[in-house]
Amino acid sequence: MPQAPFKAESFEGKSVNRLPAIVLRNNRWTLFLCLLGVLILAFGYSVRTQPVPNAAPAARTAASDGRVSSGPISESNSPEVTTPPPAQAPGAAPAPVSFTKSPLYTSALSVAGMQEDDNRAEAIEALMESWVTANPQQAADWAGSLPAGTFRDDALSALMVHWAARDPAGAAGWMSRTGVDDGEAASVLAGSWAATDPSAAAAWASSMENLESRRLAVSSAVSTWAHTAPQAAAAFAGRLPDNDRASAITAVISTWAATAPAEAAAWLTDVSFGSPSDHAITLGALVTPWSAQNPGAVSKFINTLPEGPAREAAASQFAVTAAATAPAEALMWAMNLSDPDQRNQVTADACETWYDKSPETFRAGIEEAIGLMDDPAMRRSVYEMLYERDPDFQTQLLQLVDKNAQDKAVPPAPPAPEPLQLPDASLPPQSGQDTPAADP
Amino acid sequence: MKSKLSASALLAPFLLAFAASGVAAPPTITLTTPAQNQGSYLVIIGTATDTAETGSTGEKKASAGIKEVRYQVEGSKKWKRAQLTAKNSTPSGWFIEFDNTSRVGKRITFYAVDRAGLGSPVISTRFKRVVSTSTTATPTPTTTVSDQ
Repeated sequence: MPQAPFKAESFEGKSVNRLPAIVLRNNRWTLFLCLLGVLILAFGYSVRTQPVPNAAPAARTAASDGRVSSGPISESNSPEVTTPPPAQAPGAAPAPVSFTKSPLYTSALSVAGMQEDDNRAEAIEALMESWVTANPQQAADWAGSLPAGTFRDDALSALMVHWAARDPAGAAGWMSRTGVDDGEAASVLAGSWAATDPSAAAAWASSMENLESRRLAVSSAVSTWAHTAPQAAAAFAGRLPDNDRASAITAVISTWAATAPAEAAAWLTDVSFGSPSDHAITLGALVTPWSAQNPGAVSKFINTLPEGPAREAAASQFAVTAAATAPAEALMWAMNLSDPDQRNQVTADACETWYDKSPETFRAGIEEAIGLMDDPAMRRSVYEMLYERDPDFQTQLLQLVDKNAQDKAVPPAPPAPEPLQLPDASLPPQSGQDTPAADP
Repeated sequence: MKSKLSASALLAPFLLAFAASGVAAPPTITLTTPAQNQGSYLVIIGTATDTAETGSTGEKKASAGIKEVRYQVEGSKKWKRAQLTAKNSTPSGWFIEFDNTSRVGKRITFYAVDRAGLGSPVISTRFKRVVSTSTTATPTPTTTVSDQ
């Protein structure tokens, strides 16, 4: 039978020497204390190395407690602590700690403690504007050291807005040097840079290694470029490798269509796309702003497109956008889409656009439009849309449509009886036909 | 003589069985529209791709397709539906129209859902309006005219 390692009675029955018991008890205490120490050390180490997932809550906690933290990541009671938060991109050089000595660092901590709303966004903009003016490197190092999240994205974006206005090449060099490869920041930098030097901005953007950041940056650069020189921007986008080309062309067309949609459409006719979906997305980018300006011209343009997914996409975008100004034409396109799911969805969306633009006109005209919808699923999608927007009118419309349906369902009145053909008295009565009785 | 099978040959049946069963992967979503734009009217464009349900040869199964793209504007609790260029197909373009009224703009969060109900990781971007940095030179008064 196995014996328990420590049994008190095994000592009690023996004479007398208590020393082994004391030693044993000391050993137990020693073991216990050692284990406790190890646990405390392990806990302390884990707490020390555990990153705070979001800067704002940590800093907010400190702010609400009236404490000043050393940074959004590591909370500390000492404002003099200079250890920067260890948020680094993999492979990046360690960030310098200089920003903690900046007089604007305290302001940065205050901004980090704010609730996430418009006021915080304004505060980040103001902070970054001041900090970039004073020392862009410090501002960048602080923003780059923040942990991933919307606060960091906002800080980097605001940094790039102001740094790019002063020294875009310096900002680009900082991104490359530190490995801070944020797509939103790259987009802002490339777009701002392109306002003054589009070729340099586009060249820098297209040289980025990260695919997603590069795509965003290139699209941003050519989009800004298209405001001043759409043909040049389009030509640049058209020469890009396949991975970046379609989104860049879409970005150019989206900008170009806002000012000269017919020119953009003409340029687009000569472009070949790698896939029908890329063509469809680009056509949508053309048609959406154009439909708001000139629905008649867009309708004619869509009629020139060959049947296929690109035409369907263009018609879908036209229907949803043009419903605000030309609802009848928009619904006509929507109700003639080939895919049933897309048709019903776009019809409901077009009705929603129409309702949002003018509820009175919608209420006056929808009954007739519903009458043209043969597919019950299409009607249902419109009713569902209305249920969210205007449930009272939805009920009225349902009753009205039901009433019309009942009216249509009532069997038609029998045709009026033809006038009775009285037999000619001059003719001999046929067999079985009564001879009218002579008046007395 | 008994031939000796390599490790890869031994594992092949299991790998084939795993591949044939299909691997469910969530869709992905990307953004095309730049974060900073001129003017207040903005058409935000992106692409959603469903990589789910690829079979043993990597082909897309019939159930692949983007069902919807949802977005939420900062400050609003409502998730709205973006307009798709093609419903239930992949890849699909998506569009929203947005009125960007403030200088600091709004952060908008997006995600896509495929026909199997799998959601993509969310992406978010703050869409800002470009603020003109050009300043008009203030004319230096040369003479002071007094009404009195």
